[in-house]
Amino acid sequence: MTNANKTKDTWDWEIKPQVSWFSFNIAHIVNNRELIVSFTRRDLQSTNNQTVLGNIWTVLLPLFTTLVYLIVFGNIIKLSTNGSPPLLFYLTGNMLWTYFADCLFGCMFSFKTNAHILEKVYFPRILLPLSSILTHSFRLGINFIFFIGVLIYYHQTGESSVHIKATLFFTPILLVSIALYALAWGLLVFVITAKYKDFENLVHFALRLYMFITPVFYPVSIVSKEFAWAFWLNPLTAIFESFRACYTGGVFLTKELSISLLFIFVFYGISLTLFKKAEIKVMDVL
Amino acid sequence: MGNVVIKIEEIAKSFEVGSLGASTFKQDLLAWVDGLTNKKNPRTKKDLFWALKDISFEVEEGEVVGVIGPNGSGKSTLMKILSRIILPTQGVIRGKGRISSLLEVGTGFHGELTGRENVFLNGQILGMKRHEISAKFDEIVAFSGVEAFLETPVKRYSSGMYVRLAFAVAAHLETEIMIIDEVLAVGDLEFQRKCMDKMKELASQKGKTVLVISHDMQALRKLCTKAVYLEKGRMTDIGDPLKVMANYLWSEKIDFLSQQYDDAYSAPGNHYIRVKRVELTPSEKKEGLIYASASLRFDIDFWSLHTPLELSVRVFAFNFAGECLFEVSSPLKNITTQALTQLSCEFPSNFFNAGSYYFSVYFITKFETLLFGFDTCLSVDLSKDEAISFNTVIPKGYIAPTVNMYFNE
Repeated sequence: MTNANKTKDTWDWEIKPQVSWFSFNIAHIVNNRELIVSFTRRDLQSTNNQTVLGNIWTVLLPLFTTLVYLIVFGNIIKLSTNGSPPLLFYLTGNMLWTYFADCLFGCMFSFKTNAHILEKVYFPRILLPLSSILTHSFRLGINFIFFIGVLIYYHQTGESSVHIKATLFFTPILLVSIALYALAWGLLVFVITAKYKDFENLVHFALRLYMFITPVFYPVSIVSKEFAWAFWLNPLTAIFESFRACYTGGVFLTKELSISLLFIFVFYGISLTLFKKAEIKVMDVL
Repeated sequence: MGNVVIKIEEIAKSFEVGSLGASTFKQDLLAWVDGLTNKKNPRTKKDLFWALKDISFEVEEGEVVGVIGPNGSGKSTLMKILSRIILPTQGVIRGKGRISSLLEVGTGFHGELTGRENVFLNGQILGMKRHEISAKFDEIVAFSGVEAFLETPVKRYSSGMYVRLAFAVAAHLETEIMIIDEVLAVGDLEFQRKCMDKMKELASQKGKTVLVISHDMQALRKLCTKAVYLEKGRMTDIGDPLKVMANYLWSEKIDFLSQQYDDAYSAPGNHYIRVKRVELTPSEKKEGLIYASASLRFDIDFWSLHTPLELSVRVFAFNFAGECLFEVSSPLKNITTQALTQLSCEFPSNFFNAGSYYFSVYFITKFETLLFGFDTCLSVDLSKDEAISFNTVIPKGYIAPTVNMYFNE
């Protein structure tokens, strides 16, 4: 770079004690997309190295949980599944919830697990949670392929609730919103827990509670009318219900879904702004 | 006046002392409430430690700036602020051009990944693009000398191979401004020399600006065009590297027994004289300490580039308060060929008192004109030899001559 044509007072960059509000720059992410991919590849590769089953574990673990749900909620407690095959019902619920929870924890802890890098090099900090989301999206992809396989099996065996619908095309939007929602929570919780470590313990507990008020192993239709409104405050409700409606039984909730997506977007904006403001400051306390 | 690429203005950084614990949240909450109610005496007052205070200086394009100072003087904090890893508490830094920081070799190396994958990951973390790394990949691998192990996970590397690969990636960074912290000397001696050469090559590239922290004065002398001396978070001195380092060596009383240069172009000196080697060799060392009872041999090797020359070499000894203790002169020597001239002198044992001393070497003509003055080139810290002394108090003064003393009876 030649600085010859620059006057003495034009500077390329500036370091100040305060980061201004709304300093978010999408170009930083686009310029560093290769690094996001590299981090993701590192995470995927390092977990699979020296395992015999490798990526199969990605399917096996959620499958075990699904089977447990199937036995406990389907056969013992006998919860309604809105007319869908129980295996499919629990598989979708579990797949989406695992994705949400993994992304949230992934984002939150991506800073801690990479602290040794953060202490030595600067790059836009947001790359770490983004790569964590990419990692879990890859795993979701594997699970999704398995899910499609199960779906085809049910279709072939003549299960009436499984058929191809136009709403199928909403799948990417639904999945992206889950990721965005998890990212928003992850960033917010990170900013808070970086300094006040006590909250870290609360997060595990809170997330478990959250699972119970999300239709992971039951449909909203079994919730009593008095409390139903509270369930719609949770943006995940509309997403989970609509996702199931795309593939098996249930209703695609256009109105509720739009509100939820709008909420997620606003929430993400707030969370990102707070994070940008604090991202470097937290290095003092990390 | 060159083009200023970094302008640091009144940078200060404070850390909270010791209060990061269970009570942090409560404290912050109380402080926040106090802030809202504009209370005069806040209930919680944070103890602040100022790691840096009032640091202001400018760096011009192409300069190699060495930042020196004892441990805990704020060198690393300054570098971290410059690399945007932490924010300053006060002040502002402005700059031009891409900046990259090497505060450690092998940042982000992952044991499970192979050498090849780590080169790419590490390079990208340092700010290189994938295609840039691909273009330089062969060069990087050749430099590191681990060709045979590229497909092996780096957790199976020896530590030497690991740092060599790591340094190789770092050495091939291409940014206008580089910030380097103590990564100069890694690996075995041969590789260290290779690193030094690479660093010199980087530093001498046109338009490349380097800020470097090191405790290795010898390396800094070779590299730097400017030095900054930090002490307890404040800037004590800035300017000509030799002067600043001399200042630092005084204040810190550091042993500095040898300086050597390989060729006449990089060696300190001018068109008359280039100094190849100055070295102090104690006759003995015990557990790393040099005792006042040891004799010290002083060797000076220099090239004379402007012949014929008739000169005398003078050695000045100073205490760390900067007072000259004495000077000794060599006889005049007529040098007719441009060859290496070697000179030795020996300070006898029990000549200096225990304490710290430094030396300057001057080259002077027959007519007392100064050819070249090599200031503060060596220093030595002499310990008191307890074995031969019956009292534990160090005698006063700077010399401790063995004098024949007796009572007349």
